[in-house]
Amino acid sequence: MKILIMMAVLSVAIALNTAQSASDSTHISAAYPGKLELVLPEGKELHMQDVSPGKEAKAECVVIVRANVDWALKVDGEYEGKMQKTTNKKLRLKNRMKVRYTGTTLSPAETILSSRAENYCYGSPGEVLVPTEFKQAFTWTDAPASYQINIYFRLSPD
Amino acid sequence: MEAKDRRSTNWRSIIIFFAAAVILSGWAAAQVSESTRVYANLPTQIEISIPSQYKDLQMAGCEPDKHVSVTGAVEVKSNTDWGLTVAGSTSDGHMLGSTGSPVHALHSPMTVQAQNSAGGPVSIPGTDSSPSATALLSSIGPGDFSGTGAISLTFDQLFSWNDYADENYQITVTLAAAPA
Repeated sequence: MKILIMMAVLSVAIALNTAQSASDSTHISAAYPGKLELVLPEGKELHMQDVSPGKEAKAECVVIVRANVDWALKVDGEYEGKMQKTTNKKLRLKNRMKVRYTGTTLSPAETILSSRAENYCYGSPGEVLVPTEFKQAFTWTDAPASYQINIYFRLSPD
Repeated sequence: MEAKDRRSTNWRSIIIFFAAAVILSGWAAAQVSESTRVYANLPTQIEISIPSQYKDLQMAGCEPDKHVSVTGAVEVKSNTDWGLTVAGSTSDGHMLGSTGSPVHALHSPMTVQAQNSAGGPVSIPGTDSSPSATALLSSIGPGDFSGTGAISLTFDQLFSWNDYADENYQITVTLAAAPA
C-alpha cells in the first residue's frame, strides 16, 4: 500500500515537472479574383514570305495567354476574313485566311477566319504560349498587289 | 539565638534555590527551539496565445505572379527553454479554395517567418506531411513574450497564374510551444 501511494505521489510530481506543449491557431483567408491577360507580339505587324500564285503563304506569331480561370480564345478578322488590297478597299483575295495552332500543349485547333469571332483555343489557368500560324492561299485569279488584314484575338473566361 | 540563625539560613537557602530555579527555568526557555523546512515545487510551464486581432487574418491585393504577405503575432510565456512549431490544417499545407470539385488548392505552400529569427521562412506543412509540424523557433530562453514583447509573424503566399481564381482561399495555422 505504501509503495502504491509513493508511486502515485511520484507520478503526480513528474506530471507537475513536465510542461505540456501549448498551442493556439490563427485563420488566414484570401480572395483571389479572376484575371486574364493577352499578349501579342511587339510591333504587331507580320509579313508573309514567299507569296506566289497557286501556293499557300504563311506568317507566324506566338500569342501569350495568362489566366487564372479556364479560358477560351476566339479570333476574327476584318473583311470577312479575306485580305484586302491596301490601296483599294473593294479588292480582296478569293480565299479566307486560316488560323492554326501549332503548339503541342493544347488541343489541335484550326479555324477559318471570318468577321464573326470563331472559337480557336481553350485552356486551364496558367501562362500559356499559343504559337499560331496564319495561312493564306493565293490563286491565279488574285490580282498582284499588296494586301492586308487586321486579325483580332479575344480572350474570355470559359 | 542559634535556632533563629539556623531558620534564617534555611530561608536564605530556599530563596536562593527558588531564585536559581527561576533563573534556570528562564534560561532553559530561551534555549528552546524548533524548525520547519519549506518546500516549493515550481513546475515548468508554457503558455501560448494569439492576440485576438491576429486570430483571423485576411490577405489583401491578391493577384497572379505576386507574393502577398500578412502580419500576425504570437505571445508565449515560459519558464523553461522552449521552441515553436507550425502546422497547417489542410492535407498538404496549401491554402484551399471554396469552389471546384475537388476544391482548388494553391500550387505554392504558404511560408511563415518569425521576427528577428535567425532562420529563414519555413513552409507550413499539412496534416499528411511527415512530420506534420515544422520548427519555426528553437531553444528560446525563458521569458515573457507577450504584450509589446509578442513575437511578430509574417505569413507569405505566392499566387500564380495556374492557381484558380477563388473568392475564399483559406487555411488555419496552429502554433505550438513546447519545452526545448
